[in-house]
Amino acid sequence: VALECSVDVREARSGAIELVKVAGEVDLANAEELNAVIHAPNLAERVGVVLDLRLVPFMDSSGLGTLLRAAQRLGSRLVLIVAPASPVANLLELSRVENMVNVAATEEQAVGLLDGTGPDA
Amino acid sequence: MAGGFSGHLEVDLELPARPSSVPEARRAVTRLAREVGASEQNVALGVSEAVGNAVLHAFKDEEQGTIRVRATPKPGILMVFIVDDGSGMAPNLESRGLGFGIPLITQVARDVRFDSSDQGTSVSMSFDAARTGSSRKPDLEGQS
Repeated sequence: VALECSVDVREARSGAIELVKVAGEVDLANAEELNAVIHAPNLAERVGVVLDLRLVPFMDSSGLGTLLRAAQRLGSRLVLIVAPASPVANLLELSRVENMVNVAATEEQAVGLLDGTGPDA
Repeated sequence: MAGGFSGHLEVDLELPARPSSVPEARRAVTRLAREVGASEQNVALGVSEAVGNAVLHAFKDEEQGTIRVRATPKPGILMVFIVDDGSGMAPNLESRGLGFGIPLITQVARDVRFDSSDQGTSVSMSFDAARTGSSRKPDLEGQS
């Protein structure tokens, strides 16, 4: 159950931001793949990391654990892009962890949060 | 894998206790959920967490275990049973989970019951369903 992940670097006002797009279901069978992508050593050097989860049609607590560990490591430098009312948004809400991760609805909003220009910055 | 859809509207699978069984079980039961008008999101999450728990917590190292996944519609509900032949729920210190699994199951299922002994663990979940499903056999091909 391979995940599709693409990684781009975007130059924002505050510096280089890693943009990771993830596509596919995330569960116990492949959460380690997501973990490897978002714990790549070079991410630690970035001003920010944006994890785009809009093409993730399903995620369970295995994926959630990976996201929370990344949030713990990267702090406010991590922003998740999650489609409103999507299964991932639902998982964050059910798990009551919304205040533990930065969430945006669009790429621009995510970059704005990292640049200090977003509504919650 | 053994089984699949048995009869018109039922899931009955016997799967090895390994991570790849999680999506297999989830997809099979979610197809049935769609047929009977149950929440696909809730059923998918409940099954994924229950099977994942069995894989992570029911079997000691090197143990070859089996997980049986059954789902059957009843009037107004979809019943789902996840049963393993492991040694009961035990903490797994290697687990990547953070303890969200069972709380998530209790939130998405209408009712849930856990029974655990040294003979294995069973999780019985029910989900609201709008109908008992059509009589046609679900298309097993081309769906993920």
